[in-house]
Amino acid sequence: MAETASPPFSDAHLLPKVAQGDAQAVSDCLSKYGRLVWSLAVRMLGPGPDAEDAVQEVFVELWRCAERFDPAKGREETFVGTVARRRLIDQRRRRSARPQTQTMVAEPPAEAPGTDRLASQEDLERIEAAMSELKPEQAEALRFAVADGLSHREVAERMGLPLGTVKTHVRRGLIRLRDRLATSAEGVAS
Amino acid sequence: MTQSPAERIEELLADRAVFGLSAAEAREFDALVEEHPQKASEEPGFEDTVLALMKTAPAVDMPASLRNRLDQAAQAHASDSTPEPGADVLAGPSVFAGSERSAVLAYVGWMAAAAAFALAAVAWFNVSTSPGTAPGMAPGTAAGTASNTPGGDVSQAELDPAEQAQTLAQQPGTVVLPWAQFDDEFQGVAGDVVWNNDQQRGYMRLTGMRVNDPAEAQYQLWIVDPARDSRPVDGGVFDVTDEGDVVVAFEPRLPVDRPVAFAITREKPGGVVKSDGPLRVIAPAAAG
Repeated sequence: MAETASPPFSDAHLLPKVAQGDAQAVSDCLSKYGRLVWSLAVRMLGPGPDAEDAVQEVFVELWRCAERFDPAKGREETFVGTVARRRLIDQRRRRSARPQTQTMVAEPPAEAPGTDRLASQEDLERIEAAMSELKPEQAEALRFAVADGLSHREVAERMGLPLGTVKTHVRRGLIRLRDRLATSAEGVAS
Repeated sequence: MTQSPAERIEELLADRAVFGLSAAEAREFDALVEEHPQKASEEPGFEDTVLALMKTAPAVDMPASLRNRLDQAAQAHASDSTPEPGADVLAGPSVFAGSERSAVLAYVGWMAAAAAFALAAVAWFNVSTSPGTAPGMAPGTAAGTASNTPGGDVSQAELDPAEQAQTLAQQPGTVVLPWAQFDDEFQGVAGDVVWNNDQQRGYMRLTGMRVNDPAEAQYQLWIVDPARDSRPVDGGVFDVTDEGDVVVAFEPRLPVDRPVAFAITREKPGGVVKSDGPLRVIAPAAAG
């Protein structure tokens, strides 16, 4: 498939076409979201066969459940991210359930300074600013739970806190983060 | 402090976006939504927030070998997605290893078997859900823990596993589902599954299971829950080290909503993410 110079997938919804059996849309879906899904897999599982298998599972699921995406209810990228995250968490928890002879990836790979991020620099600054307004324990719990995909039990173990406290931190942190991001987005728009 | 329904709905939506809901939380959410549909219909935007946070991760280019593999999978999907009569019956993510089509067919076979057992045995289960020791089971038998279980309930740590299972069997909301033999090699297997959906834990009580060599193969429990996912939930691996009765605790890492069957396969050491089967024994449950 020939690549075009400009981003070919910026706004168009691909999943409705995938649901209609459009072969090109199936391939385009891979091109548009491959980097996102693979980056999340590496973050949560580490690079390797498990991550590659998980990414394939994510796309097979996306192609098959594409008809469930409703543009009126949310963004396509969010739908893809939600499906990917659920599958990656499943994979991570399955692997952590195996005996300890299996290699575990508990920590994300080391990052070099200036590492390229999935989000734009502007979005990163907004998110970091919003995160800095959370209580430290809320921000830490959210990072463990969302960025690393740990279960609330695992987050509790990492932080040395009761399960209920972890859930409270995550809930309040997420609500506050959402509100801060909405406020900053309004500021950008105005 | 009294919490309003709207606040609780928002909490549960946040939990769902980050961790997923347990069966009990899902029921609570459903009940709240039924009572306050307008509150639940207000888009909280948690999924967008979660994605924004996820996108702070480093961007990594996909290896060319993986891209090639996915391209092949895309072509296979595109060629397979031409609608055929009855194709919707096979819809859903693949569950088992092997070629995609055979994998789906294998899962349909699983589901059909589970459904057939469930339908045939509804009446039986209705009278079998009262607490009781499984046929041939005696307290104090060999015990184990499926490897998903993170350590069990501290409050019950001093009880024998058979007693723990019996205690759970007597608690509200617990079902006791007899194993039904499934594989010729496992003729004579008996016992039951004690499962409490609210507590998301259970016990397998088994007698007549073949002893396995953990270096060669391990048994793996699967929980079939179409309401949650088209893939069966991994219940963990376990060993049978004694030809007598065994009690194995299990606690799936993923929330189970409405299990329609519990099934055991024999797998390579450590278990598998996807199973080729065959099912060795199965305990169907009345759906819902």
